[in-house]
Amino acid sequence: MSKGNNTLKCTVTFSSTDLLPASLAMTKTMNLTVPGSTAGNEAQMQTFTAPQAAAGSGIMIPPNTQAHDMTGRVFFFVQNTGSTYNLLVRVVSEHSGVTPDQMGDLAPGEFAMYQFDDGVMDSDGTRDHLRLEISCATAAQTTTATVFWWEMAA
Amino acid sequence: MASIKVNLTINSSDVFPYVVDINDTKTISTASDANANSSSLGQLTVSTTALTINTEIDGGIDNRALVYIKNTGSVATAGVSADPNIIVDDEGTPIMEIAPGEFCFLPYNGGANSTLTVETASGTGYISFMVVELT
Repeated sequence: MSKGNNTLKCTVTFSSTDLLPASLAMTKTMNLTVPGSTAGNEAQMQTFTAPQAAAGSGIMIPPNTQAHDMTGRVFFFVQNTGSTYNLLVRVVSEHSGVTPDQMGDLAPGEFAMYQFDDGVMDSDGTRDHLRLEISCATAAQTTTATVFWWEMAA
Repeated sequence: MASIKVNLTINSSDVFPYVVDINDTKTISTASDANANSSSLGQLTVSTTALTINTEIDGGIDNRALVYIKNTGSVATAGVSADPNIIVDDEGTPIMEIAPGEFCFLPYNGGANSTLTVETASGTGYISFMVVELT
């Protein structure tokens, strides 16, 4: 990441002609400033093969073995790049002792964008070990995923 | 059955050592059953008391739903403080925090008849939202 503040531009568009009584056409854009400080010093883009796993046993992002943690607020982009099985997304605020909470269920090709915070989502008073977890729901299922995350302000 | 087309772009020239240019589109169909019989679009004023955003979704989001939430509060300007961040809870557990001007969207699934609530840590916040039951 380059020195100083960096920027990201995100735009989402929803359109439908049969979901609501009127046609839906909505576009929203946000420009994010990633601070050039320790609160915004990390960003990663990764691909994974997600296996079936119960909550707490899936793929943790970043890995539990990783020494450094996400700091402050973090944005996640997640996409199920597989073609057959859904991808479950969970979030957990602690390294151990807390069962991750399921929040997302992405069908093949679907994507999502979340923002986490290690403050309000913390469960033991120590701002550490914020993790996103991915897996499939049923034995013998696997899928592939792309995950892109970047730290924001504290 | 209905469908909704979603497009997301993310662009940056300096967060990574290379240019990030994500442009994904997906058309999502709703099922033709009671699990996908509700959609809502609206806006809410949010306080420190958790407020359910899917009240009209027949008692809770049955299983999977497309959820969009934007914090429509004011961002900080010179001499004026920002409106508070919005905390999103799944069955009472915080799963997200959205700053003014930011939005999120996700294919949500917290389990059968899940409840999504929004609140602030202090002060009054503002959101616009869309919830579409899928399956």
